[in-house]
Amino acid sequence: MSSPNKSLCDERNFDSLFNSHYETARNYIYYKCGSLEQAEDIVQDAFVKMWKKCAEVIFETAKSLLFTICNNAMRNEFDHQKVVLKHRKTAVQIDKNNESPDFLLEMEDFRDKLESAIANLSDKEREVFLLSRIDKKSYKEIAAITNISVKAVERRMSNAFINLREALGSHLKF
Amino acid sequence: MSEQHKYKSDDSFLARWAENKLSDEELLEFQKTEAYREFQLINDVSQQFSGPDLDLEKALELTKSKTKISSKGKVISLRKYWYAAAASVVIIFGIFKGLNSSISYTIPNGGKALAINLPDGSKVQLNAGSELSHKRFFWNSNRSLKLNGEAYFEVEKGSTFSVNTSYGTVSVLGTKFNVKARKNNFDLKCFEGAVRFDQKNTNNYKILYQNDRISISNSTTIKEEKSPGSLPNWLDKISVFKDQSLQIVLDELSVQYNVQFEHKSTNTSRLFSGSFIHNNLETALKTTLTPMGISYTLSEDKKTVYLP
Repeated sequence: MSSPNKSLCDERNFDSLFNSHYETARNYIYYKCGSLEQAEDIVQDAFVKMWKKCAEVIFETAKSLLFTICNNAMRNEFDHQKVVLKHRKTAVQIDKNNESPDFLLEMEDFRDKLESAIANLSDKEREVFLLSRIDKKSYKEIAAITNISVKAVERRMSNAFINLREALGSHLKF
Repeated sequence: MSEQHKYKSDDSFLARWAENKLSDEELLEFQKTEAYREFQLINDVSQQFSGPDLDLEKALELTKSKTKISSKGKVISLRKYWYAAAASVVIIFGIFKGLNSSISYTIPNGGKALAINLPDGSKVQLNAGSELSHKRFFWNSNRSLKLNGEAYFEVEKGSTFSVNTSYGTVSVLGTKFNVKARKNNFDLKCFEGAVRFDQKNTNNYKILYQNDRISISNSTTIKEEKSPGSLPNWLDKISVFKDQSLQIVLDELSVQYNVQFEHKSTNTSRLFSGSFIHNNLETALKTTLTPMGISYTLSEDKKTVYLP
């Protein structure tokens, strides 16, 4: 008989897995498809599947299984919507010297332009870029989530920067 | 500055820069370029975004509610009846699609027993580590269930009521009975009325009346006995065994407490008579293993029991 140290069937373990990975998984799917409802459904269903097979899941590999199930769900056709991001008010770090009303307006405008440029990135570049910039995941973690190599993550990340700069063009010149 | 800067030729350059992984030299070089300020702006502002709002507690609650009752297929509701044409299409589609959809209940090992009311008013108590499913539509005219694990049934009078297990089918008209169809054994007891058991892949069948009990262990032989009692013991949160192999007792402990047993030389075919309770693992182990003269150790996380 096998002897897993921690079992997913223990509700406490299930809860801790959920609490530590639900947000990343949901954001990841959201960045892919832009539909929050769909992202929540896919991730919740993945957890339901894992709960039903909890005795067969090795706890240490549960995280990677979660992302595998989510990735598989996304292989099927899915609705595509524009990814909308929220602005974190606390994180506005603008140079004090430049806080003229004009500048603030320009910043506001730039943020909208950037958001729409991000929405127009390819799915693959967008998910890597946002997992790194918003969710603060390392390239290694992103590689595990998206099931590609670290090298490929870095390539997508670099390309995302280049494509964003191209898309924004003159808006970057203020 | 040179338009052939490294950030264009080296496809990991910007990625490394974003993670502050450039060497001092590389960074200095990069800062001199026209593009640097622009990338810096993109990087700064993009980090001010955040993902959609999250209510983690609510999400967990919702997920757990989905684990209780899952259904394959969707409920098809009929729109207003005067849209006869449209409705008939929906009905045809509904019958076509809905006939095979089912409702299922799953309780993992270590989970709490669940009381289920079936559409015909019959009652089921589903034990831990068990799965029960039935068709969603027209179930009342063909009362057939699939069971993997253990359950106690109180069946309302009506058409034939049948429970399919991997060992065979139990069918009744209206009665009370308990079915246990676990990995290593099958156990059926009739508490009221009469039930019929048809063994799988054979022509064997048995009819059981009140207090009759049959069991199938490792072989396919059916063992018969009389066993009085008005309700299955597990409903009182206790498992009772009479001359049953240690393996079956260990299996049931695994189901009730979600523990694993590791053994090297222990003979699990020895017979055991006795019982254990469902709400205290230490006591349960003591009452089953100690009388058998088996010393054991329980791992710290209480998930594994080591036997000699």
